[in-house]
Amino acid sequence: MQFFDIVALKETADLEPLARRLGYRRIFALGKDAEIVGDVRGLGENGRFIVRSKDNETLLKAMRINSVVGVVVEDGKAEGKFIEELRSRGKLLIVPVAGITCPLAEGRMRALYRAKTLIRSALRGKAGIALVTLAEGRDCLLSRTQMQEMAKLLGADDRAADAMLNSLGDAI
Amino acid sequence: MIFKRKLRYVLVEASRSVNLGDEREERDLRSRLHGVMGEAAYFRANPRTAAQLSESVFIISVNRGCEKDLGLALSFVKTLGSESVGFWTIKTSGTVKGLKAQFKKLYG
Repeated sequence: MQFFDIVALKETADLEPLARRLGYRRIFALGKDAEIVGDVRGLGENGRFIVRSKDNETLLKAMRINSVVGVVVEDGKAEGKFIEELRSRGKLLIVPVAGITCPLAEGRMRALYRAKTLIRSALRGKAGIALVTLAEGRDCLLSRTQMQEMAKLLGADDRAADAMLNSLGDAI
Repeated sequence: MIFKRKLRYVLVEASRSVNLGDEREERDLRSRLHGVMGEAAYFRANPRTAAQLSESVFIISVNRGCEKDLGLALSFVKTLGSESVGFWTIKTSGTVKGLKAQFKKLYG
């Protein structure tokens, strides 16, 4: 199985040798392979977008757009209807690990519980999940084996953990 | 009966150069791992620096079966000394020799 990650590195880095060392098939870069946006207004059908928002309405609208590959739920709350929509439209629930390992505002435990709840809901609803680092700095990157262990920490079994690291490859 | 515990060796890369030959840095890493893993898990894993292969790449030994715990614990260690850092587990092997060969292959 091949594994993928997506990062938002502020510094320039050669991602190809890094991906090989860290055990990924490829590390995608935000700004190059996909864009992250907070609003769906003006999103066209061209390109690849990840929508990040606290507002469930915005995220539901985003799921209807073909160019949106996945959504990041900022407040960690996902209702059954939301998960059902994710599954039926074939979009990914993107869970960034950088918010857990390199937390900024909220504490690490809170971020861990939030991600665990979100993943549990998505697994129960059989929605696609992509566990990514979305690292803004090299310090927040993790290797493939570390990400697999992180997925298990967040409630996934071996098979689900592998699927979470693989799903981004088909989407982007 | 006293028996010898089998070890596993983990090739670890840091996001910046670290000097684990320096006792203070090594002790700091161990205390941070202890903080993340907890007393019992740390004692069970018994992580030790086995070798430093380059400025940012080194080998840590752990008791067999605890290598995944070490990887997860290293994910949460983000400061060493007063500077920020990230640790990535690259490969795991039963021998230091095996990891040195992997190091040559990966880092040329």
